Amino acid sequence: MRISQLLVGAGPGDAVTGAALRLRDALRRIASSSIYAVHIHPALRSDVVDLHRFPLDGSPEDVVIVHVSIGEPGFVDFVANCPERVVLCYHNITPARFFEPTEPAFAARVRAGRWELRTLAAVADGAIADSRFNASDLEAIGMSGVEVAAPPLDLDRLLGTEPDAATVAELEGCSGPVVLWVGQVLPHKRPDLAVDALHLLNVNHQPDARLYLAGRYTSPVWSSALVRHVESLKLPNARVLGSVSDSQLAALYRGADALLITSEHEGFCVPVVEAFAFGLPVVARAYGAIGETAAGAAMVLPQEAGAPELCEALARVLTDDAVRVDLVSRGHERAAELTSETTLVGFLRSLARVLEPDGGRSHP
Amino acid sequence: MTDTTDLDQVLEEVRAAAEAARASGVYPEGLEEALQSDFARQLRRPDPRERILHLRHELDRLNAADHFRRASAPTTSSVPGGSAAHKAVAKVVGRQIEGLSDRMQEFSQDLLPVISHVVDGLQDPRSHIHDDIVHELDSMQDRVAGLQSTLDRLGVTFSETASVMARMLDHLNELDGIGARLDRLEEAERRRGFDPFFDYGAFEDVARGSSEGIALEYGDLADRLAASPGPVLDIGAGRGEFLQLMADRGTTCWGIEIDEQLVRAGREAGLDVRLGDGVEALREASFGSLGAIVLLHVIEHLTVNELMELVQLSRDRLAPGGFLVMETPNPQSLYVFARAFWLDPTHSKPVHPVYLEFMLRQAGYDHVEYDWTAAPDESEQLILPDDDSPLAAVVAENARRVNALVFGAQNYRVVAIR
Repeated sequence: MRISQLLVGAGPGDAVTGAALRLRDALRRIASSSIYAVHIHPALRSDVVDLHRFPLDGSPEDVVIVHVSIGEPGFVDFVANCPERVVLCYHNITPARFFEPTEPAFAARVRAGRWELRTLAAVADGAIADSRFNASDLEAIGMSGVEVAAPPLDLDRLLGTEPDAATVAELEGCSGPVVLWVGQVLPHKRPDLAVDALHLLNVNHQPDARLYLAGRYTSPVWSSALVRHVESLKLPNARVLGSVSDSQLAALYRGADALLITSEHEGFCVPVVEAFAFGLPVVARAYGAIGETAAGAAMVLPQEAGAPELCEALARVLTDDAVRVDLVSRGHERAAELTSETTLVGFLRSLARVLEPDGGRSHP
Repeated sequence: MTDTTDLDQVLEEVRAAAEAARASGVYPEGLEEALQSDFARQLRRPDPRERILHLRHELDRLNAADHFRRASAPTTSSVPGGSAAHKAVAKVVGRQIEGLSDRMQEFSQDLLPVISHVVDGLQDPRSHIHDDIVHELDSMQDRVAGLQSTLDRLGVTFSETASVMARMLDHLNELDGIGARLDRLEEAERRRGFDPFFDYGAFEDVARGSSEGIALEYGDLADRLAASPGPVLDIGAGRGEFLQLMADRGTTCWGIEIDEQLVRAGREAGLDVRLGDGVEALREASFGSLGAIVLLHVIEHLTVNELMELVQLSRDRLAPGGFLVMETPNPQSLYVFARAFWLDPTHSKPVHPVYLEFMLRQAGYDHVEYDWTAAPDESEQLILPDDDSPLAAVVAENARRVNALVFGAQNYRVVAIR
């Protein structure tokens, strides 16, 4: 039996790619397994194969796991013509409304992705969603029997990464508390709100608090506007880092005092779990699957919370020892539920249920 | 958990604190709108991608431009009589290198302002520079450094001595050598593309004997590999006889076979035989995931480089204590060449046991065993005289020597343990 995984794009540091790699290594113990993608970052050429090299001698005994997070021309037709059994692994597709004002081309791709999801749902033999929130998307287009399983995580890898010495030294030199923000610079992640919250925190509570924003400049428009926004507010305590290496990220998690998530749409939110594992309290808002992922271990504010509420929440977490200790303890417990082993086993069990002769299925 | 806080209560207190701060003017009315409006203003500023796109356009143009033009090498010399030698060699070299030096010079001259443009962009603190451009810059700087170094070397070549030019001619000869190697590789590729109009499985019956015979021949090997520390991979599984032996012993096993008809036959027999290339299958296998890798009459079909890659990959893919088993025709027996080796048109070349052992040890296999199999029937060997005369003793000794050289075992089997 061959179990292949298909991705639209594969890149280092990407949560979906990371989950696919973990899954591939596990699946290779029982079957031939490779990852295929349309767009492959050069650093992953040895791990991920071009989709045009996908073997065409598959049979219904074989399985194709299709990771869905964005649209791609031709991808759905390819999947629809696979003789293999198809299992969707749904990581959510961010709604186009976030991108329409500044990233119209990207908006078109995610809009197409939503349409393509209907076709994928029609040809799939079953689906696994990262969260209940994601499962509801699939159920809304008529799928039933959707399995819910956290993506295969690898927290141990980041925990075991040697922290970058320069970043450690910089953080140790900070006189005040350090707030960390992690995510790609994209409209729905709302990094601007994190900068605003820091501005209010500096003015009203802790003048020496610092903010580090770590994440790829995926949207050039938003990235440059973010840098200019920081300059415009005259915030020397905010640093926009762009992409960071694993060792830099490990140093940031180790050296920070809290993680701030301002995102307005998340299908799972891996940084929340990473922060738990590193013993960081988390402040976020109740969008998408964030509350579900945090499972009561983070300070999750209501959706309407703005910069003042985020500022007050940060001030509380950074100064109230009892709250901080409690959140860290809860976070450790939650991270212990989402270890490399438990997430992998949970996902594989869901996969096995989907592949049972009477399991999954579900055509809308 | 002890001393837990009521998070709902804390959230309510946070909300109340923000509301109180709003009411007291700490967060004055319009503050949030002002902050958002500043960010919206930044979003409306000219799109920095225009500059990046312009840069990319220039880089693309530069890469696509054909800066080559034919130029002759300088032929002056301060050495008496040197000019004549220069002219003679330069005529040949100049034709070959097509003004390479000039081209590099022009390319560098065009490239430098582009890089300087990128640097300007990087120095502008208000500008966002996409990761890709930074990587592009790094790569371009590397290329300029390489070009500069080549130019320096070429400068020496053209201005100093004709002997250096002669060395370039040697390089051209090397190119001819590379061409010949390419021809050989094409030949190897052509061999791999062997596509008979007949049933290759039926031919295997003729070339290698019946399936039943093979099952008897490898029973002992199957017994040994049943204790492998992981699944057994049979590369070049053929008709699946060996896989069947392993399956009969309850060992997890699968095979790779390049011939579609054989794959189909193996699957129909209930065996896990996959269509594909053995080296590719090893590349895809995880580190330390296999208990044994078996290649029975396979390596004589491979090119030298394929065999080397296979041996190296096998070491990584085997679990500790795992077996690499290779059986192949014995090139130390002349009988093999007369009767068996060239019977199969897809054989590439024989593999000498001394070379194979050397390569295995270089790849990190410390334990290597040999087994010599399938000796030619005694009826085909030279008959030894049976009287006790001195002449008969000499004849018998000579016959034994000839028998050893000509009628040695037809195959040898190497078992290397990781």
